[in-house]
Amino acid sequence: MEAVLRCEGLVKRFDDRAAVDGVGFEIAAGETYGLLGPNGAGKTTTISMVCGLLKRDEGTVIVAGEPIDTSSVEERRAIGYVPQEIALYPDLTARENLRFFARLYGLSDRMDERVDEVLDVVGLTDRADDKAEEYSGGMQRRLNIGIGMLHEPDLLILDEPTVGVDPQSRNAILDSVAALGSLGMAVLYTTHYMEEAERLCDRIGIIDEGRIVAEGDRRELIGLIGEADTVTLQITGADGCAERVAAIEGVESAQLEGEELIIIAHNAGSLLSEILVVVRDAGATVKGVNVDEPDLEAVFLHLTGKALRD
Amino acid sequence: MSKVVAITTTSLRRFLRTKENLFFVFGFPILIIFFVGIQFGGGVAATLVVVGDSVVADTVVQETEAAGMGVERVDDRDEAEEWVARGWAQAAAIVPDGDPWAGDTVEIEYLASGAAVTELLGPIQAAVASSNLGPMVTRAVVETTGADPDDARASVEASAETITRTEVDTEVVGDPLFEGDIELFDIGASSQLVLFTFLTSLSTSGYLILTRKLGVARRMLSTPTSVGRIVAGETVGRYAIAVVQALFIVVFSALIFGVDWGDPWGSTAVMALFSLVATGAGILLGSIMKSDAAAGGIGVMLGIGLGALGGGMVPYELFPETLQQVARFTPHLWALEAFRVLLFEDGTIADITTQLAVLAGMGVVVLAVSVWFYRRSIVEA
Ligand SMILES: Nc1ncnc2c1ncn2[C@@H]1O[C@H](COP(=O)(O)OP(=O)(O)O)[C@@H](O)[C@H]1O
Ligand SMILES: [Mg+2]
Repeated sequence: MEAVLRCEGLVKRFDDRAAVDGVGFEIAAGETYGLLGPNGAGKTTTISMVCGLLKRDEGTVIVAGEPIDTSSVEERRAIGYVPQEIALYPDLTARENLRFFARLYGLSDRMDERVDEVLDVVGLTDRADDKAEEYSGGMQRRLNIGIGMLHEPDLLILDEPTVGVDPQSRNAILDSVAALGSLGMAVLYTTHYMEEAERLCDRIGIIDEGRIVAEGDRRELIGLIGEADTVTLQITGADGCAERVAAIEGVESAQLEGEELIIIAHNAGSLLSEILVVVRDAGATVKGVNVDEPDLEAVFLHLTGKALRD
Repeated sequence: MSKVVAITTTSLRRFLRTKENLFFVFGFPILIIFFVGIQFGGGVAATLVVVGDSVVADTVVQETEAAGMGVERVDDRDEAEEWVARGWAQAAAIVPDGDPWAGDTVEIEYLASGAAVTELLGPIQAAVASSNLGPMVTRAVVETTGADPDDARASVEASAETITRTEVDTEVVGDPLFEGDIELFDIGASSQLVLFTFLTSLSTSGYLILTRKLGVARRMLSTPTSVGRIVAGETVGRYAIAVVQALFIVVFSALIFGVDWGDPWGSTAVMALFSLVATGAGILLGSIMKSDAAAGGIGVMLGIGLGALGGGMVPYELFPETLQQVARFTPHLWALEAFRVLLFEDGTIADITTQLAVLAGMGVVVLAVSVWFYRRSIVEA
């Protein structure tokens, strides 16, 4: 399928320092793509170039078949941009804010209908006629997102939309974003929370210091580090079972530490039943099982040598 | 087009939603006009300006002071007319230079406006009639007889009773100099108009800065809306505020205080062009300043400073020469000058073409510069 967004070789230098240094990726319709990276990685700078809000030094951006740069106007109709900051008028109501941007997006006839729909999607129908400044942080965030999807863009770009939001609002936001992909939108989602990227994104680009250091779906990324899962069994009467477990094909090692048998294995999920059989045959009783998959945090650590969150 | 309208109406809605703004746009100027009006028209003593270098002029000054009224000496008739025309004095007495001889007829020209006509005439009549004319007789005696001045004064004083009293004739001659009496509130209404229109425009700069700081300007640019339309929308909204405020001051002061704004075409043109300069200045301030709080403070300082410099508080003719030259760069001066011609000289739009041309020129330049800066402030490099 033709990609909704295709960007290539994006470079942006601020005072000779490259904030973005050769970033490129594609997003297909219905796909949610995550840019995962710590603060200062270059996510916002990349997005600004994709939206044509920032002049790039090198590279190309094509959205819905049209090249985008800072002089584009009509081409921007394909893009819905939700900035990192809450960019709306605090002294206007949610409805007024939505109507204002609806007119800028050129929704004239369907305007009121779309405004009501969006209010419903972001759960602000009841408070639609209250001023935005009276909202909680989470409600403001939701309105911020609502504005970007008013005109049902081909490409919706969300720049860290959950920053500074309480867990409940955050869940609501993540749920509504998850629904967007199924509507056929291409979604570009940036975050420095690996759980969000894991939960929402079909594909993830890990970005650090202006470069995408790895890209793929969650499994592919985790596969990169070659690190196996850790299975921890709480057992009693397990003398001698460690050796047997270690002999299972796919198990790297098994070590008994007190009442815990710690097993390192590739693809532990599929080996788990076999491991349990071996342990039981050895005469041990299993009281608990813990499987810890390596996460994107670990991938990031592996790739960059530093933690995702500071 | 509808996008420009959306931006315009939104900026208007935001501005008018704040009660403080409503007060400063509509309530405050009217209050000031009212208070300035009653101050000049009522309570405070009327002021007479006196022209002339003679013992009669001196006497008029003394008598006016003695009557408890204000008095100022000015150099010539033009200056005196200016004082009266602008309402800084209510009447002028123009006394011929040189002391008269006994028996001479001294013609004192008296120019007055409004309520002060009779009030200030009294001291002049008193001055002319007063026994202080003794010194004139003394001088006449000295110059014709060569007598010792002290002796002459002594004998004049001794025979004071026998000197024929001066006769005073009062005659109203000529057409009224100031067409349509200057009413109580005319004074200052035009000053308040330019002062407040400019101040309000500068004060809207904060909204522009906030819009930028909040990221709304950037977000507008992310929609299919050109920079030109955003600039146009913000400009038209501000211009509308300036024009509406000016119109309100004119209409309200005319209806309630009876201020006569002269030729409607003329005053409309002045308002329209002055508002253009004010709008540009507001956008410029909002584009070059980073903090809305700082812009607010600077806006008030600039608004009052430029207003004062442009003659909105004290006639600029009273400034030192260099300051007068500087004042010519303020739009206030040209607008006030145009209003003076319209209000106090009964001029028409045809009589203020120079002022209108200067205001239009300033408007175009300031607006062009401000649009350039505004554009630069919202578009990232
Ligand atoms: N306008 C700018 N001028 C100079 N440096 C900038 C500017 N914008 C961003 N940067 C720098 O570029 C880098 C990437 O920033 P950004 O894209 O905002 O990161 P992220 O969104 O991933 O947190 C940072 O080091 C930041 O300081
Ligand atoms: Mg960012």
